[in-house]
Amino acid sequence: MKEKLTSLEEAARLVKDGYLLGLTSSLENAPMAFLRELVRLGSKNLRVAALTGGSLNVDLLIGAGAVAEYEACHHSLGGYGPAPNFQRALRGGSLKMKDNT
Amino acid sequence: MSDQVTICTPEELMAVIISREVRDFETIGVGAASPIPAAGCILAEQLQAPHITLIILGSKEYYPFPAGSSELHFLAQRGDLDLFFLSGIQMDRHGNINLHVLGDYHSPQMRLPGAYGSAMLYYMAHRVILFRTEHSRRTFVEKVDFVTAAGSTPESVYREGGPTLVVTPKAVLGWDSAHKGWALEAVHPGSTVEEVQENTGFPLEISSSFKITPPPTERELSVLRTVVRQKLEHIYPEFAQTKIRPD
Repeated sequence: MKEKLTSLEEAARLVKDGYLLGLTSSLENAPMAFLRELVRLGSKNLRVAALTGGSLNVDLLIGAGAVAEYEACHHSLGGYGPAPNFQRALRGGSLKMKDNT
Repeated sequence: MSDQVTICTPEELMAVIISREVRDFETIGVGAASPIPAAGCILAEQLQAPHITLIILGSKEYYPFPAGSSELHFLAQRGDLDLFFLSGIQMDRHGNINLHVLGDYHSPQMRLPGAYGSAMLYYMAHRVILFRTEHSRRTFVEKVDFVTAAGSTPESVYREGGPTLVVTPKAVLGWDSAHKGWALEAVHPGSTVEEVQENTGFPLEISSSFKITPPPTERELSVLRTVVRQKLEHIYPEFAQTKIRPD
């Protein structure tokens, strides 16, 4: 039988520059170790669509400069307030935001 | 009269005003970061509206669905939501609200979390009450920097509901659908028409039903500070402890 298990690093390497990632809206089921691995690999130009919005998960990627384009209806750290990396990236013009309702 | 004002916090006053707007048997949604409407609706359920179906995001007691916010949105999309509450960093004379940016959208001075479904809810809930704890010219502007949710729609576009009232610590503005704008509906004890106009960035007509807000009754305040406060502690603990006084 074909081995289906792989290392986190190898799994993260499957994500290429320019890929579109679908992520959950907050820390519920957020694959944080996987996202950190993407950052370690120096991923760039990712597109992210968050359902319904994003939180610490997407903010980590944005802070690492990995996200070029982001679609969501909402982005914040929830009870912890506004998301700093998102704020900074939009002010600096390095992130293309696609707001949906 | 001024004694009446100091007996409650601005948040308590706004919750009481909201509670009076709730009609029995309504299906009501309370979204994220809305402790004042949550308090107002729970108060209404305890007083004059015991048969409401109340859905509060983030609550165990008042959330009849498994998880997430989608069921609440679906309910509104089916046209089954009677009352909903929205806020915004800016609100303008045409009923538009802004939850996105201050300044230019493409290079904002300040970026906010975003719409979170509010554009649809503003169209689909039968009545929407806006609330804001800051009544100032930077909140109530002639024109919002970005229209997150539009106050009015061209005649040819189907719209289930829309703006009804704005509740602030100073006043209540009422939606005038004929003129597609706000009129001054009530001023709270301790505030004046002049003060409200001074702090509003567009001219306000005085509504024909204008009145001074009747201050909270002893019963309203006592239920708010006991049963409602206790229930609210499970949803908004900090708000319940700091903004609603212990009885």
